[in-house]
Amino acid sequence: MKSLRPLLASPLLLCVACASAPPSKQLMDARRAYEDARTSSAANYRPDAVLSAKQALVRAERAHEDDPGSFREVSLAYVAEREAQKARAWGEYEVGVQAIEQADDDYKRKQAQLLAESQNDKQAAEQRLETQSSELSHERAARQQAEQRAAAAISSLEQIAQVKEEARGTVITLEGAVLFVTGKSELAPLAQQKLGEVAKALNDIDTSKRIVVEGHTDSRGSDEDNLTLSQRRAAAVRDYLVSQGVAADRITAVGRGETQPLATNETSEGRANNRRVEIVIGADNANQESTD
Amino acid sequence: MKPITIGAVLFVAGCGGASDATVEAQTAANATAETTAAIAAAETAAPKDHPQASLHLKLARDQLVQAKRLMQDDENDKARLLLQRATADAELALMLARESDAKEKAERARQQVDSLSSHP
Repeated sequence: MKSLRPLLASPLLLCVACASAPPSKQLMDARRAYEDARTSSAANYRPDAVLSAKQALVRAERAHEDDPGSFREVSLAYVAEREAQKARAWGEYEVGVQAIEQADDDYKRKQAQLLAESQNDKQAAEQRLETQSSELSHERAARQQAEQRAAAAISSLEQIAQVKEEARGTVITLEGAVLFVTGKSELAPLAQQKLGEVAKALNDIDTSKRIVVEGHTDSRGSDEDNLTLSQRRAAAVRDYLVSQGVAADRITAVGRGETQPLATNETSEGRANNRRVEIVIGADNANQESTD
Repeated sequence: MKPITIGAVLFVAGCGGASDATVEAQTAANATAETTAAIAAAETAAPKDHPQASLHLKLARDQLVQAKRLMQDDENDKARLLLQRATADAELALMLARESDAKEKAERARQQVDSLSSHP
């Protein structure tokens, strides 16, 4: 190793001196191959191999100085060329090894990343499911509350009026005597209090159902007068209910006159039963009659 | 290689007044063994379908045969140079094969990474 430095310098000097003896083709090839190796990736990855190639070239150069064109020069140049090519290939081999390691690292990193992403997706899906089921249970609770409210409203109605379930819907029957003075269509003072409670109950039962207010009379007086009176009374009840917060577009008033008695008109008790206002909840749209 | 070298030295020392020709023959035998080993290593590693590696392997084998013939004719200097050439060819063949192998593996590893990102 200690003799390397003078060795490197001497061939250059000697070559200048003996310019007349041209290097062999092999020596020129070896010089070119060494230049390639020196400037390749081997310089970084395998400097030891580049150094060996350099030493091989120096030996060839020296053989050229000693005996230009000799078999020794040609052979050592041949060896030097291959040493240089080997150094170059070695460098490329190390580049490949590093690329493999890099790709392995990338693979592991990406795999971990994909795993994390899929776990995030799973969590998000679970979160969505949870939200949906809590929405569902809220809805169920709200529906239960509405049903309870409706049941409570019906039972409070039952204390002030007669409530029946019929094919046409829930029928609330209010006695005419409680609502009106005989022959009049203005509401009696006590009637307003009762109807206020009815309005509250109507809003509690189910605001999506239509309401029909039907006026009925007994058979005394002319049919025409009775029809007109029943219409006016139904309208008065409807207007009051609307004033108490029942939506106007879901409630209609209709007069039935004396056409639908509940009891005989021969007795005063029967006539009292026939004078009435019926509030029908949940009547079918098709059966609606126009307002007064 | 070291045991062989040491063996040769011991042998030479044992022979005491051995002639130059005997020493030279021993050195040549060592060089032959070295070349043969290099060729064997390259043959194990180099795939048959690698043209450059195959070429250098063939050159190595041919020159080994030539060197042996020269040794029989006592042309030991020339034989030693041919053995050096053969060894250089064999070592180059081995390194070319390793280079190709590493590059193919790197390419495959890179493709695996790419396939991972396109098929989550």
